[in-house]
Amino acid sequence: MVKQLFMSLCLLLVMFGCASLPEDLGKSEVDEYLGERGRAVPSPGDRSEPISRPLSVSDAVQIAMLRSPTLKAQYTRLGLTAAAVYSGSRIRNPILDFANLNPNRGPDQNRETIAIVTTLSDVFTLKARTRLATLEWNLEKERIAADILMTAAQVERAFYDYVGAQQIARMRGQIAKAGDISYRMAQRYRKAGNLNARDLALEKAAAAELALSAKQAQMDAVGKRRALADLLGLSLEEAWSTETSLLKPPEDEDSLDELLSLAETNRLDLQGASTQVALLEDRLKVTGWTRILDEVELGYEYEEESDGTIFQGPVVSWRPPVFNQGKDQILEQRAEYQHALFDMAQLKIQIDNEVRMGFAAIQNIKEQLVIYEEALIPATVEAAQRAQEQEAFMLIGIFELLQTKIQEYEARQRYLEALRDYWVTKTELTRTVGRVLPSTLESEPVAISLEAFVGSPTEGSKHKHHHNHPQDAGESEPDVHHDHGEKP
Amino acid sequence: MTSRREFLGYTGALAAAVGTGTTAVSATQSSAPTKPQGYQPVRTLNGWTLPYTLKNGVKEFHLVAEEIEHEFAPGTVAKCWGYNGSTPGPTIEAVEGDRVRILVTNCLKEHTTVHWHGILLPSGMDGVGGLSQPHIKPGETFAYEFTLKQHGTHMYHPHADEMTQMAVGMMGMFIVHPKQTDQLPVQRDYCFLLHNWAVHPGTYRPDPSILQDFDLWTFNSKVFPAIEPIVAKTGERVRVRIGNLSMWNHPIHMHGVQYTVTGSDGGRWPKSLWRPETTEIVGVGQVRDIEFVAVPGDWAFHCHMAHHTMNAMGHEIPNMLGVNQRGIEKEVRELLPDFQAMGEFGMAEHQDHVDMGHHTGPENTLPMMSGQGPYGNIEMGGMFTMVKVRDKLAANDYSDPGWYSAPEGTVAKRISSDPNFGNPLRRARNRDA
Repeated sequence: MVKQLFMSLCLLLVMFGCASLPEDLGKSEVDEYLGERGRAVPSPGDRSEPISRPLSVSDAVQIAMLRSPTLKAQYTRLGLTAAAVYSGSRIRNPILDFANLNPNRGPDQNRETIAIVTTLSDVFTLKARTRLATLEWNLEKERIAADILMTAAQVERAFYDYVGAQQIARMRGQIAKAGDISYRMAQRYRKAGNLNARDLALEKAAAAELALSAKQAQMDAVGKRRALADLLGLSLEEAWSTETSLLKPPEDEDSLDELLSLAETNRLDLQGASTQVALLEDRLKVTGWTRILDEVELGYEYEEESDGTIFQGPVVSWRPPVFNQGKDQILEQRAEYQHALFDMAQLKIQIDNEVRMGFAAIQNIKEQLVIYEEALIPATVEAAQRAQEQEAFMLIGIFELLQTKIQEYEARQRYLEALRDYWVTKTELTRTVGRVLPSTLESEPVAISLEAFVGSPTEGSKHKHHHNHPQDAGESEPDVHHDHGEKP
Repeated sequence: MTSRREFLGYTGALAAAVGTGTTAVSATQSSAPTKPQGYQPVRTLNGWTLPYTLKNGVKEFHLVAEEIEHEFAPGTVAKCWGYNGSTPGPTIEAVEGDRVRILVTNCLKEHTTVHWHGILLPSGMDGVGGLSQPHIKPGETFAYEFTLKQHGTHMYHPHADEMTQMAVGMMGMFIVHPKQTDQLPVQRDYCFLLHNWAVHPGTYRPDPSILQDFDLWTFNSKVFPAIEPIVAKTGERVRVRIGNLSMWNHPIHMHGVQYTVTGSDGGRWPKSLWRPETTEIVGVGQVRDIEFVAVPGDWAFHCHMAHHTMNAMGHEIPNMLGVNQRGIEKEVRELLPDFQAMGEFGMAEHQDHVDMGHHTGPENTLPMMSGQGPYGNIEMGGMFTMVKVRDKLAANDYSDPGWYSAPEGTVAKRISSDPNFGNPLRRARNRDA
């Protein structure tokens, strides 16, 4: 008897087989999504050695993909969904019932009851449930990939924020140096009796303000380093560094039409919204007929009475939809389906607007960079050069000259900020489109060196071949002026 | 009755004229014969005398008011306004009693007039726009005509938008020689106008809105070393007529002589009013004639306001005197490669740096001081020139005779290079100690 029951169960399992799960629980599909969008996931061997050279932005993204616990945690969601797929694509285990009841009198035998019941409605709904679970799984893979792409964009942004912050800290340092020189020069003037105490105090205050600004910029760079470290899964304690120069933007940018087209096909959250709609639509259809079915159980019962009489035969239980036809489920699922449709429509509008906004932002920031490169920077450089000429002819003094140089440095700093803003905007546009942009892949940008901004120490000095001038000597040199070109 | 001067004046004019309307007197001063018209013609430093045409006994001059390009000294040119191609305009010379007609053509883009400063004439000829006459509009020519009732050193300048038009160079000298021969005639007669300009460093046009903070101080719109020297032969009597149409008074100082202040735009003073001076303040709007007997040598002749003998210099730059910039100078050069500390021991080194090309200044801007003499840097600018007197100099020779060769034993000489030489008496700061 038991053997017959067992054989029947096996037959059911063979007839209604379960969906099998891949060993990686779908990670390779997620990685495939990423690779298609320019974010190829490196193999662990690619970055096995310690970080010894300054990181580029692509290095940073790769390291994040390999080492970031946050990124790795995204993949664990596959396990959660896989669990749902597993249970959704299977029939519930049958219930095996066994009773051995003792009579309370006489020599009668015990009554034995054996029953096996399985949920028949699981069989009927298995195919639909498997299909729905697979859709859920696909949806989750899309969402995971979308979140990883988002994180990659965050890494890029943090990278540019950090490089920009380093450059700005160096410029603020240079500005603070100019302010410090101005103050120390003022001290010399004060010592000579040529500057009053108030003016000296003003110089000191100005230098202090610049020094504070430099310190704040340094701290900001530390903060940006920390933010990047968090995303990369690195410790601040570790000795790693980034490239120190931002890159000049590429000549050509992607067209608006190209960006809109790419967004439509590459945004995984949009793809996921579409999957979500399909899933809810399918679920609604399934519920349409399963609500009538409800729970149907089928079993076989064997009962042996104490007098040896045997009762056995199939048993069926079913809850007919007499008072409740499951309309509540339909209403709820229909509302969810419609809501998902509206969500998808809204997302499309949002994506379209984000792309247009990003395109406009890129155009605008590039135009700003042109103004910096062709107008503001050359003008402030020339102003400083002309100020040097005026100082040479005693038309202005050293303090005004240094102030003009500081203005040049500050203009350069704002240029670096604009450059950083360009790359941050580009990163945002990359996130908006949902993939690495063709303009990024095709271009070979040139690094803008900060050394060109802060100038070289003594090149261009007309005085370098002049005979020994007391002003060049240390303070301990004798206080005698060398007469220039004395005639007999 | 025609005086000898008048007779000579007519014949001199007619001798050179070819019909009416032609130039009677050559504009080239160096070839002009002495006293063709009975007076010693004035030599306008760096300038010239306007010729006239004699028409029916009237000396007719023609001034043209126009924008010009003017060089203050090699290295600075500017768009100025002047007369007949120059600033100051050409000197007008006439004789007391002459009837003069001065045509003024306005080639400016705004109206103008000409006022004959200090000259006695009918009200309507006085040249004050809106008061004496209608303004001379662009393109128009007006005629001023009057009889000269006086002699003296005078000036002419606009009296319409006066501040602007004078600020950018419109002025000139008007010399009226006396009818009668000078009681003490001069052999050389010079004139120049004092003026000031705000040609901001790096610019090419004077700024008429500046009323005090000027960049260039000029004799006849020139600065040292571009101002011609006053040359004379030893023993000659020399007159220098100085008019001031600047915005400051100027103490004009001459080395080597005690000159005599002999006249103004009121004419040559009676001898009882003559004053010996070595420095005479010529106030704004004033004219002073000074005379002296030339003594051999090269003599400085300049305004004694020290900053008027400098070209443009920042007036609010920090005082560098005594400031030790050693050590920190190198740090500045890391930011500004062309920076050169200077001024700790004075500003004399500046000329050396400029002359050696170490300091490049703004475009179109002269250094603060320059000029080379026979013994080294002269370190001057602005209102500075020289009186060069030589024993041998032809009567009509106004050319620069070069540097004076001082006789043996008459040049200050070095007798020690030791700063501790000798035992000079010093006064202690605290005399009670």
